[in-house]
Amino acid sequence: MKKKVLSILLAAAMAFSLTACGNKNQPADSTPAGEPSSGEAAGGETTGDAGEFSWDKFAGQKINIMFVEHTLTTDMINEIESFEELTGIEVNYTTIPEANYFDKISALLSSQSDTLDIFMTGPYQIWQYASSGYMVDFDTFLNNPSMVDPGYHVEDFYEAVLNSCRWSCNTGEAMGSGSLWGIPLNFEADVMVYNKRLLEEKNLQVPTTTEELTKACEALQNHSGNGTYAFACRGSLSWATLITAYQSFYTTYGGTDFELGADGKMVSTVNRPEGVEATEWFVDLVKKGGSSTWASTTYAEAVGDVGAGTAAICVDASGSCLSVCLENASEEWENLAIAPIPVAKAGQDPMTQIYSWSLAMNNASKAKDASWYFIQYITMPDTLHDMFVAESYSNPTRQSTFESEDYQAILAGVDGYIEAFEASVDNCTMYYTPNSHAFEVLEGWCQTIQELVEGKYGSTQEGMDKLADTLTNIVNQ
Amino acid sequence: MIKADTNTVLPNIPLRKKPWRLRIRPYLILLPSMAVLLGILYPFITAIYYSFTDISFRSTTYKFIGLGNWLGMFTSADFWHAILVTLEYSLSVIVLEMVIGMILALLLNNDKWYSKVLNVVLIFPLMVAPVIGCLIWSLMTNNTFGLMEKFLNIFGVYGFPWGASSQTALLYVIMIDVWINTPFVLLLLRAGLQGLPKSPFEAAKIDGGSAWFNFRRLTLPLLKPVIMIALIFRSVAALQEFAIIYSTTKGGPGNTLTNLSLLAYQTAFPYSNLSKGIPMIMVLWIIINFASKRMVGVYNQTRQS
Repeated sequence: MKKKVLSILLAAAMAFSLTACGNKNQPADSTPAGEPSSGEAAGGETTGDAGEFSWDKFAGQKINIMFVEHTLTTDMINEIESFEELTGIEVNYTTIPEANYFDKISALLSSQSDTLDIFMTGPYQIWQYASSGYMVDFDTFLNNPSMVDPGYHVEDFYEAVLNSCRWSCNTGEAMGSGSLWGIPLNFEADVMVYNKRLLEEKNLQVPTTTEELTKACEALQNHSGNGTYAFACRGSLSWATLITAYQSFYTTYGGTDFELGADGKMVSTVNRPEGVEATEWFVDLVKKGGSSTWASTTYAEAVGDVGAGTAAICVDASGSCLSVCLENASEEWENLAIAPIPVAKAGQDPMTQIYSWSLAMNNASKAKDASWYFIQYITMPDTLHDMFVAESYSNPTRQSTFESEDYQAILAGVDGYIEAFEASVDNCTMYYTPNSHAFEVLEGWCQTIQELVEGKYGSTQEGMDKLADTLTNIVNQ
Repeated sequence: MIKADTNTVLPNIPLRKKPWRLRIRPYLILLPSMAVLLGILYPFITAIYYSFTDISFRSTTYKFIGLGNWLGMFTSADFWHAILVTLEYSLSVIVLEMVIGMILALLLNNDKWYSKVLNVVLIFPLMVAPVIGCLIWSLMTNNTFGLMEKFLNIFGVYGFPWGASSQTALLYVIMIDVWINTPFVLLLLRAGLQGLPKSPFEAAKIDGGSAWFNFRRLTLPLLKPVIMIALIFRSVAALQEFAIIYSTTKGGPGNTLTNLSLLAYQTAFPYSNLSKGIPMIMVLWIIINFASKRMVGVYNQTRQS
């Protein structure tokens, strides 16, 4: 009898042990399937409910958010309690490392899972997800006064930043028109951070053109002995390498990536003279003035080297450049200053690539209205202002935040940042042509740059010709 | 006296059937493992099916396309390059780890105090997750503050490229793999050495056998089963290595270190071409299956001899 009981208990225990263990904050189900919440039609569509705006309209609903591990995420999580008190909406969230984040999001969105309501995204991901029909157009909420707090002021967002979340989903069409697929939390433009002391020691002016940058780097290589070098930038095999320094320089030379052929298919233009000239210049700069470990350099290592005094100049996203310039943030913080990135021709405006982190909504969500309320709450002027001031984040998406006295006081301590920001904010845009194979395109491109630096090809033209064929095949598969 | 009665007919008493609760017990006990097996087989068979479709994270629908993905894979230069990298990497780490592991096992197969200390210390890398191990190495090899960089500076070497150059990247990841996984080989071989019978070695000592003779004629043949076990485990792991390469160079510079695991992952997930990544993993599975079956066969032979 005892053996019988024991064997049954053992079998039951093994059966239960097969159940996957979940994260403590594993999202619970949102509103029951097929049961519309107030203000929503069946299937989770918004109804354009008439009447005045009220924060507690969707009390009792639940939403599930998947955050990426990011400094902003901590701040958003800190706001959840006050949001729940204000609205009565229950928030469940999970946080995932960036390396795996979009793998998870892609799987959830493509399976049309309703266990995900809100996620974080960037422009490149919008190209893929929006064109596949996975995302919600926020214009449906913003154009409905009963769903928008009177103090929201969407016009307060920088137009360039909002445009980095807006796309028509038409092949070959640039971002900036069409539906709004995300509400931006922060954005990155590229700037140059340099060590004033090292430039002064070599009697160098702050470079404003690519030619001046090359000459400065030739003078600054091994500036403080063996192991030190002139120019730091990302070089690791990643799409992120292609969206900072390289792209900003590539664009300033007039380089383009794709154009629409007569048959409506995209054709790569990276092997045109402008693109080849830009790439040749960049490869030459890395060889003459870069680190010997450039091909494995991440943004953290690039700005870290400038902060440590190992590198004299770095071009990278404004957030990471700013991070080493703040008081006591790095060994050389007192000697560091920020300037707009050099341009190909004197007098040109800096043309910097934009990247933005934004909050987006799953089109399969059954709690769209409640999800919009959370996104709206987090991106209210006061909420964003408090986040940016408290943590000294760079590049606020709202003009009111940038212009506020307390935020200006933080920036005033960083030599050149305000000028660099104001010089680039209106011209920072998505210079790449939207396509749903963005990551394959960018990583293939990065691979070619690395191979050119290694000297694998007889000439830059040869490398870029091969790349053009590869990219054309990728986008037309 | 009792005699056997050969004419006795035994009564025909029908056997009682076991109660159903007893009859069902073996199946109940097997049920969880069958559930696990189904849990493994279902995605495996589904994946095979998906490899003949155009399923992708870019669309919610898919259709059957036949052999398109498989033919595309076999005609892709990237695929054959990945096979080459896979074989190059796995052969290098297996040979190095087996040789270094064997040398260490022989050197530490005694009761000296330093052996006792080193046996514990040398196991530490095995306790570290490969990704953490790679992080440690990337910090040690950092050109600004890394320990390895400072060490090389003593010899006048500055800015060693490590994983940033196609000349040194393979060496770099092999070094990390050897650092992490040699302790595993060491553990197995040392346990094997400890379990060897003493009498052949005593007989050889009496007959005046040299250390090399002992190793070649006694230690190696007797240790073959354990060597084969270590070889099987390391081969299966090395052929499908992902964590070390991804954490260090992500397969770069260029495609220098892009092995089959990495290529399949990149194709399926970041590039969202799920149906194109699956055939690559299937090929890897076939390679590992074939290699491990051959090695298990050799292992069985060594046990019988």
